[in-house]
Amino acid sequence: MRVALITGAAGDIGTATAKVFAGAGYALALLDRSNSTVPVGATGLSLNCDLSEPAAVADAFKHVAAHYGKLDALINIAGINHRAGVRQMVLADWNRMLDINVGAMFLTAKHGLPLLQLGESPTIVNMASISGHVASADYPAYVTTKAAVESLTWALAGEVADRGIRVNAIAPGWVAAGFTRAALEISTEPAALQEAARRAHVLGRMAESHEVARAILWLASPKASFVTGETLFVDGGLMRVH
Amino acid sequence: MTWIAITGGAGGIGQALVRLVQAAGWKAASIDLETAPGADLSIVADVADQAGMAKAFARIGPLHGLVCIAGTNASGRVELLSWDDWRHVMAVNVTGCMLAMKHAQLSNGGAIVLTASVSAHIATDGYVAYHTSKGAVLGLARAACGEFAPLGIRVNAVSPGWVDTPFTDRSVATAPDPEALRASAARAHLLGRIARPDEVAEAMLFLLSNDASFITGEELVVDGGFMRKR
Repeated sequence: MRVALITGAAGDIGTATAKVFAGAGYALALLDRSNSTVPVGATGLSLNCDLSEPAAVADAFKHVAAHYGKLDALINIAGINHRAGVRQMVLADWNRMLDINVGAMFLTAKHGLPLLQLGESPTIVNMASISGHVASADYPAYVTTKAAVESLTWALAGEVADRGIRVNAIAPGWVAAGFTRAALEISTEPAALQEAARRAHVLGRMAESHEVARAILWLASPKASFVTGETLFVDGGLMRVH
Repeated sequence: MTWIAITGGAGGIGQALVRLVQAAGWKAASIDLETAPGADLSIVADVADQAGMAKAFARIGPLHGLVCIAGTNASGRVELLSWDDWRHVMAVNVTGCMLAMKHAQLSNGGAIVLTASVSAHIATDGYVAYHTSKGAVLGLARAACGEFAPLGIRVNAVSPGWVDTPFTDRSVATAPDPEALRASAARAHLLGRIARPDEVAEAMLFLLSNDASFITGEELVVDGGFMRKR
């Protein structure tokens, strides 16, 4: 049975991903600072973990090692957002963004690789975003971290290719999920923002979480056996709209 | 008097840019861990230290341009690289740019140039922190161009390939066969050689100048065809 570790498993995309992976027959190891609502069954693992704490991440992987003895898929979804322009940025908020959105992927890879080496068709999928490619004036920390995620993915793909481990990134556009809700909540014109978000996509709508989850499942599967160091855009054509 | 602030002004590319800025009739202020002998004003500070950066830019005053060159490197694959080394590279290469942009007193018509790298696009085994940080710099340039546009300030990035600098020398010196590495680095570029520091600085000067008045949020790759060679 393939084992998938999913970070950010209590968020909307994380929840959808955990369900899709469970549906595909994966055994789950879920990591989040909050409790995930996805049932992992009697043999599964659901851990609370603050990914900004290097020691907590190391501990979580010790648990996973003791429980499963291997990993086949490491799915890094956990991420946070912070609204502040460069000129208003508080250094502590900026550092937290870098540590959780990118640093945690470095740490999970560091601790996960020895387990992935014991897996079959082992793979890592990192959550990037179209935000790594387009300007978003209110969210420079987010854009910075998401561009960094892609570079980390490419560098890591080269480091582990000789061990048969594939590493890819997934880049959604707007998803009808937690981040979007939060952005709408703090917007002064939520209706206009929602309409702009809808129209930003060639498909004329935002993605549903499960559409992102299914793309992750494909990338993680042996069907994508010659795909590594790549970014798969699941953006409804957002990058092609102008 | 028109001032340009340059982080990493004492390094190879930095010194070349100081000379070009002065040749253009502007004044160059360097912020670096080392003093920059040729600069009109040289401030010794760590770009990752917010208090030091705030103080440095208060002293420099109003600016036409900001060029962030200061950077560092750490070798180590993901499994061997320590969390502290990872954070140090991110702090200098990425946060250093953010802090400079935050504290620089740029005026309307001004420009910011960040130093990314071909390393944001391709990967060299064993330098995962450097690659990640340079991708982050591109993200920062893309994000900030929108924030600074209403202020009349353009934000761009320059991405060099290999450049003949002390930074490169230090990296090469750690290789098992430095001469062989140097030769293979030269061959990795379509032009068959690595860049001179002034060739990178010229691109930065162009992006600072009014000749680039409609260029923002962009990356200018100065790599001698490195990324087009297979």
